[in-house]
Amino acid sequence: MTNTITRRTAILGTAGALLLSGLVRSFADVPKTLKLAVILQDLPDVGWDRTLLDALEQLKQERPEGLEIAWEHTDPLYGDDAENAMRFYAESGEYDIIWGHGTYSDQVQKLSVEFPDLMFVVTGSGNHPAGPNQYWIYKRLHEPSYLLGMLAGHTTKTGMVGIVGTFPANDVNDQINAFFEGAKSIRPDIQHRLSFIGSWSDNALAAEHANVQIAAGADVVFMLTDNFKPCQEHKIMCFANINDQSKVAPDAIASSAIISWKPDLNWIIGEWLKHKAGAQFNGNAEPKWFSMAEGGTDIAPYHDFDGKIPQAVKGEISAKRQEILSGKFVVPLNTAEVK
Amino acid sequence: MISFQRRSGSSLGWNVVCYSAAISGALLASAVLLRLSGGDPARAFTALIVGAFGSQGALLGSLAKATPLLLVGLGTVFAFRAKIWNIGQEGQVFAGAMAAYWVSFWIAPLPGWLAVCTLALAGMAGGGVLGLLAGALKTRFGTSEIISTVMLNYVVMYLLAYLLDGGPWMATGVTVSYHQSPPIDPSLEWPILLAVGAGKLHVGFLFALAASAFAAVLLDKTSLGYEIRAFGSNPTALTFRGTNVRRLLLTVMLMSGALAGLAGAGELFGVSHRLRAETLLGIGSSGIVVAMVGGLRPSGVMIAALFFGALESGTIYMRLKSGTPAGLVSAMEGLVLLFFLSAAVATRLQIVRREVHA
Repeated sequence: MTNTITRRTAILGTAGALLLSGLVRSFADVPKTLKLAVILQDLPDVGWDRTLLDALEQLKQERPEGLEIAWEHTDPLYGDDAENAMRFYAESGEYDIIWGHGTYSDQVQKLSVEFPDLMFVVTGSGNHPAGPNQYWIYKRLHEPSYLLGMLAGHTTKTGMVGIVGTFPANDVNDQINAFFEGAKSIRPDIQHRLSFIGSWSDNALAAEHANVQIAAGADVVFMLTDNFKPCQEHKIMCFANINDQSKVAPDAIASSAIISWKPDLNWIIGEWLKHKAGAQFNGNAEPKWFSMAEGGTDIAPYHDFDGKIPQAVKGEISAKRQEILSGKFVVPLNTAEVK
Repeated sequence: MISFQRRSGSSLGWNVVCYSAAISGALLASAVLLRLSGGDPARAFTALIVGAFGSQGALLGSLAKATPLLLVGLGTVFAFRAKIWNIGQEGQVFAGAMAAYWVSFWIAPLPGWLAVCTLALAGMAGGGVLGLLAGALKTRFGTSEIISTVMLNYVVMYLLAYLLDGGPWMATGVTVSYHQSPPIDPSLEWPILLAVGAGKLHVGFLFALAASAFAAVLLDKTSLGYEIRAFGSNPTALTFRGTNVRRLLLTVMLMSGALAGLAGAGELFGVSHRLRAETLLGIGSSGIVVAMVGGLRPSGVMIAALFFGALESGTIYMRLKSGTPAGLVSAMEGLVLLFFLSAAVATRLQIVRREVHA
């Protein structure tokens, strides 16, 4: 008996072998681990940084796409020190994503061409496009700020609400406008006091501005800075932003406009997996942000204020939140500077 | 009985003993701090040395970090040798960067080398004018330069804050980040002399070397240098000699501020390429430390600047490699200063054994 290989068998055999080898290769190429190097602009306990590290911790437990997630983070770095740190991580070859958690496009621009297979992420304002392997994430807190504005409108007795801001930046103005809009939706005659302290972190100055606003009649204050002593001393309701800061001043902070980095991280992981599967990097030139409906932001629980806020008010805010989530109500995104 | 007594001359051997003890003491105290904060001193120091000298790139990085410290340190030497307590170097560094940035709007058509020199001169003018202002306040109104220079620091920093936070120098674009200008015109970036990996050494290093030679010659070989030293030890005698001490004081403040201003211009056009307060903060105060550790001598300042430049460059690697917190790095720099100042006092003393007669 002679062994003859027919043409059909040969074709089927070759196709099968190719398919099998492709399958084996694709299984072998599916990444099992993801390692990030995170460059921080502030200390890890500052809200902007803490929320990212918390989200990474959650994702580590959840293992999206079966990935084992690990990361290293620095203490505050900027300028050429940040660039050196990024280069150190890039050259080590141990990291898949270099995440500059702040304004780092200048540094990424100097490295992105040299390390074209490495993914860079930058966050927040002040960044700019820096090549296809830089992804730019933004945060918009106008939706939860609107809801806090509604609570402020219901709570104020003097008819005046205050905001102590950092800088009139694009991603600060959106919160301020939405907060006032929310308050006006409840009380159209609402008055406001607004001041910018000209710093991201001068808490003593923030307290001085808050005291001035309270003395001028504001009895609900949205603190975009981290000092709630004036609220406690004057026994008024205040709000925080970025993370749930109720524990800092449970007797003063009724709620907070909070951010979550989980949708951002999931998006980045998805883009990174696409690249690992063979696609080109496709970094965004316009900043990308995730809405409340997408899980990017929310309002924090009322904690100690739960029993103090009337049920009807809570119900109204909850209903508006649902409308925002369903898309029935769209909070206007207004980044104009409020005077 | 053993006692200490002021030394009449200086002894090389004793100096070596004192400064070696200072380095060992500073390292030991730093190791204790590292250990107390849960770190591994051996790992941290190894990372520090590798980060500062471990490769050509690291070495260039250390020299680049030493450049502004050397310039500010030399400026401080002029002032402190005359016992004029200019401690406004922070503001003078800022003023230099700001003046050079302002001038950069007008000089884009100039050829490369001319633009570099113009920007360097503009930086020197910015820092120098600020120094001169503090000097004028002293000669005209008797205002203590300690107070005026510190106060001028705030004036300059808040002026920059205004210019960058909504003012005319603020970056604009899709989104803005407060605290920074747009990038400078790439044609005005100072040439890089050598670059290996992350280590880039810009032309400002040559300015710093030239300034070191200038300072050494001026202080030791010229009548102005003699007057500066004499002003520090006996200004009254200098007046009787016929020296115009007011003019001398103004000259010293001008030179001191100008060198700090040059450091600021170099950092802006050679390193950061964008005016931003964070990248300039601390250079002035570190430069004063460098001058003190260097014994207020240009040669000493060069060594001290290299040492602190290496420390600053190496600490980035140390922070990443061994997880040493940034605060501890500042504490280590402080310890080095403390031990060196103690050593400087010790070099002026000698141990004397006296026989006690009953």
